Amino acid sequence: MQELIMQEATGFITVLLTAVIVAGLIATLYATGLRLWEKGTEGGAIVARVASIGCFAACVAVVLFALWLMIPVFH
Amino acid sequence: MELGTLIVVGLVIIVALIFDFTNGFHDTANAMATSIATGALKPKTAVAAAGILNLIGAFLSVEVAKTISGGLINEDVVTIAPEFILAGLIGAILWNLLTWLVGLPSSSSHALFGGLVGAVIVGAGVAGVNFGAVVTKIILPSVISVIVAGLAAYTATKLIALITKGMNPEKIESGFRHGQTVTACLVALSHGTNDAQKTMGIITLTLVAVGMQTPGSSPELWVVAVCGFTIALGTYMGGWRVIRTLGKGLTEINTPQGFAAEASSATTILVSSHLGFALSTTQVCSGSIIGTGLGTKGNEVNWSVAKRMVIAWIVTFPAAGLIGAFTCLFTRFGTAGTIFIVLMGLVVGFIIFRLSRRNPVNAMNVNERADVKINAASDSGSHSDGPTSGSGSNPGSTSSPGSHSGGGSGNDFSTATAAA
Repeated sequence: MQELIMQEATGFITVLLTAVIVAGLIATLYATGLRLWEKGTEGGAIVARVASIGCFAACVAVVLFALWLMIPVFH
Repeated sequence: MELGTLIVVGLVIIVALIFDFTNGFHDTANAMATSIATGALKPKTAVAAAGILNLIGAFLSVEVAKTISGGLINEDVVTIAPEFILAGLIGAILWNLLTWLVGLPSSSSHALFGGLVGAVIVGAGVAGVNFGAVVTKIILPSVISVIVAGLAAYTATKLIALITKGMNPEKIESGFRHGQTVTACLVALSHGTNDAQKTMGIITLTLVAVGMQTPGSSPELWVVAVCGFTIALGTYMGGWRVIRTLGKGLTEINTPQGFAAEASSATTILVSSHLGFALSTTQVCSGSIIGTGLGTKGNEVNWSVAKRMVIAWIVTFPAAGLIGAFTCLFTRFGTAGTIFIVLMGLVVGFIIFRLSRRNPVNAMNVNERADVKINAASDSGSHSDGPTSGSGSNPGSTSSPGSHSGGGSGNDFSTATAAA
């Protein structure tokens, strides 16, 4: 019984940490992308714009990974 | 094969599809409520996208569930007869309709399991129920989903506010609109891969139980197609009452909050299901919206709505169980009793539908208010579309220029009753 509770608790904490970290990461990437994009268009800074595209590309990668997880044919 | 068995199998398939439909239209809100509330998507566009993604999802994932009850019922001890399934399904459908009437999100799978457990207790005794699994699969996940999704959305909202501080509010609003649409679509797709499968599983396992399909085989193509189309249709009809509560009732949502909530929901659903800890989509999405409300400065969560919602979650399992148990009593009278309970279910379902017509919520007025009332008396601003559901044939029923869609959504449930 105690083992089962431990197992459930470990599962819960893993889910909690992973979900919070991943959701935080996506939010950070997307928000940073937007912020840099605004900076890039206003000042014409090419570096900001490239970094912004990098952020959005990372977001796309996360979405593709989510699709890969969702669709059983891929794994 | 006996005629009685054939009738029961036919009824199970029909009732399972009605459940599939209510499952779809009850859960549209999970994916699309925040997008509709922020205006990221037009209401009709949102439900159409969700419907299509549910259909695609249904075809993408066709692994049949190994057990109907997911371990809640000791299937070694008790054989789940088609009559039990029928009673359980009716319990789940009626509970889905009742919660829709009052505009509360509730888990369709919890309703289904509750209905089944209730039916099995009456039909085969308490020994058939695995109460340990009720705790680990129903009660604990309910608490966990709100904490996990809420905390994820809270963190995401805080981070977004921190990073976008000082940016032009209009740019923030439009920038997150696209992100919100993508994340909402992910939630809709994952819904299709999970929920359509439940009905496929029920129909397939029923066909196996009566020897019309070999055990362990995949669902027939017609089962996949019919289940997929039914859940997509249900999703497209849109449970507007639930959409209003989730989108407007809990907290004020702008596109950054909507993005944070949907991203957290999609993440929580995927992470939990891949770590073998499957959580209810409905509860995850509601938890995310509460979390994002808490994470926004100067924003309040409407706790009275949140409280009603939590009560609905707690009550879902036992309430659907009671209806399932009551319904199962009648199956003792053989095929006639089984036909009787299906008819009774239809009558009650129709009464609930008529009650909803007193104060209809549809694509036109979904964002006008934050609450869902059953009586229209206090709601003078609503688009009443006439006393009968046949008002679609009356071109003058709505004064707005979009009377085409107004008429269509005014009839949002008549198809269900016609199909029923």
